[in-house]
Amino acid sequence: MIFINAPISGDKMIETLEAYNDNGVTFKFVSKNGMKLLFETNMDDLEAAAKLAKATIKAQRWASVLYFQVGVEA
Amino acid sequence: MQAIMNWLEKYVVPVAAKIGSIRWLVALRDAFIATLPITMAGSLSTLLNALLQTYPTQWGWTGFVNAVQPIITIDNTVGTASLTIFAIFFAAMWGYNLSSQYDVDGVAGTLISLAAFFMGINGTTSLTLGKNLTKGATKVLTDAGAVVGDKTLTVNSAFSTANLGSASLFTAMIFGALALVIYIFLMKKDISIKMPDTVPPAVSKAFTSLIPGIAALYAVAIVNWLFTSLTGNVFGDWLSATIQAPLLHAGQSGWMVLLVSLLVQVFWFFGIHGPNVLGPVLESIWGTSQIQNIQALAAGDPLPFKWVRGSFDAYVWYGGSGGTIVLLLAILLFSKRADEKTVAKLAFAPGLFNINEPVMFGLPIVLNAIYFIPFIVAPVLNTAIAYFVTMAGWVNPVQIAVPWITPPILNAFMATNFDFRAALLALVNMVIAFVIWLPFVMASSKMQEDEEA
Repeated sequence: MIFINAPISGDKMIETLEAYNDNGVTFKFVSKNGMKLLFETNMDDLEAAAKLAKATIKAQRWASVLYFQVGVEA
Repeated sequence: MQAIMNWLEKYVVPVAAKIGSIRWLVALRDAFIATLPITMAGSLSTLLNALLQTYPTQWGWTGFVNAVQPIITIDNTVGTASLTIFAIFFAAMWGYNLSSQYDVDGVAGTLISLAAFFMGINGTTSLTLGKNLTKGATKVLTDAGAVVGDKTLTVNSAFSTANLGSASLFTAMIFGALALVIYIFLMKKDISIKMPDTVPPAVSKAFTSLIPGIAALYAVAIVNWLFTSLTGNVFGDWLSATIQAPLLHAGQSGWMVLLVSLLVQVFWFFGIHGPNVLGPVLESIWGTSQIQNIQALAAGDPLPFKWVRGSFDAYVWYGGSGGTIVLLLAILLFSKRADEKTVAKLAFAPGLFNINEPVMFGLPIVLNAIYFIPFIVAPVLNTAIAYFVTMAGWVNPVQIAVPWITPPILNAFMATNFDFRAALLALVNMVIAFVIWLPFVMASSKMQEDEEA
């Protein structure tokens, strides 16, 4: 699983990642605890999944100024 | 807190996102960022020059200075080819980034921006002479194309390096913008020469930008000619005097410095990348001021500005925005919370290099009501103190660009040309921030104890 610490715009991030489906890669929202969002992914390399998730969100116009953290859930 | 978040999400985030996604502002910010190798090389040159020449000369170490003369010569070459002609590099990066933002050929955009910049600046170099030239000397120089006046000598078609440095940055911005807006518009309208597929891509690209490029440059040349004809001024000189100078001067206002410091903290706290939103303002006003200071130092001239971009890093954003390195110290020394201590231990090493994402999200500070007050108050107070001390002339202004990952205190020491008083000021600011953070660290610790009891 990967996590996103996002103080704001969490709903938009969930929407963006759940809509992602390039090369068969998917993200599925699992839960929200405070500002922490958890996602399941079908990628084996979770580090790469976290990087992809961050890049995908950063590519959105509304996300260009957001400060958030993406990582692999231990 | 949720009500504030909802309000922010509804009203502030869209505005911040809009500002942060305006292509022109993003390109402006990225153009300044892209010139980092040049500013760093120029700063290193200035730093080495101070260590190898300025200070040893003051101390009477002439033998040492003579011995390292080859290094000084090499060093000066780097300085001349970097910061002295900084506006050229900026014009290039401005053209590239703005074109890239609009998905048109960035290479052609770079060249067009450069050409437009050279149109805008004064293309003559004038020298003031100590006395009038003899008739013979006047004839020789006049025959060679120079214009000899009353104790002046003007050489046409010779760009002075004085017009190629940071003093002409706004000329690069405005002339580049004029040309690029036409270039991008025509490219988007597809008004270009199409080559067959058999033509190599590089040739095809060059032809595609041919008509937009020519149109853009002629349009700028016409505007420039009209301005010069009507006013008798060189457009670039006029821009420097009427737009750039007042804007940079406004950046020396304490209220403006404090406002930026406050906004950055508030943005961070609510999960908005403060320096990203304010980047165009930070770089075009205080970044430009800093480059002018570095250039003045290299030339041995008085520094034109006291508060510059690096001042924030040296005295306020040590350990990352919010001065969080002192928060980590306070936690390690006084907190009884195991979770906060664990985060502090992990975040301390990155914090020494001004990376504070682990503490911002790990503690967290973002959206953590108990740390809101010190996160806002400590940096703003630090800014006020450092601003007052710098303006009073008790420390050297920042005059060398140091990498942002330079550890706290050392950053202030190096950036102010090895002024130990600046290092002391950074330390004093850290102590003050520590005192501000401490009660909140202890309160957080106590809250945990109360919850467990």
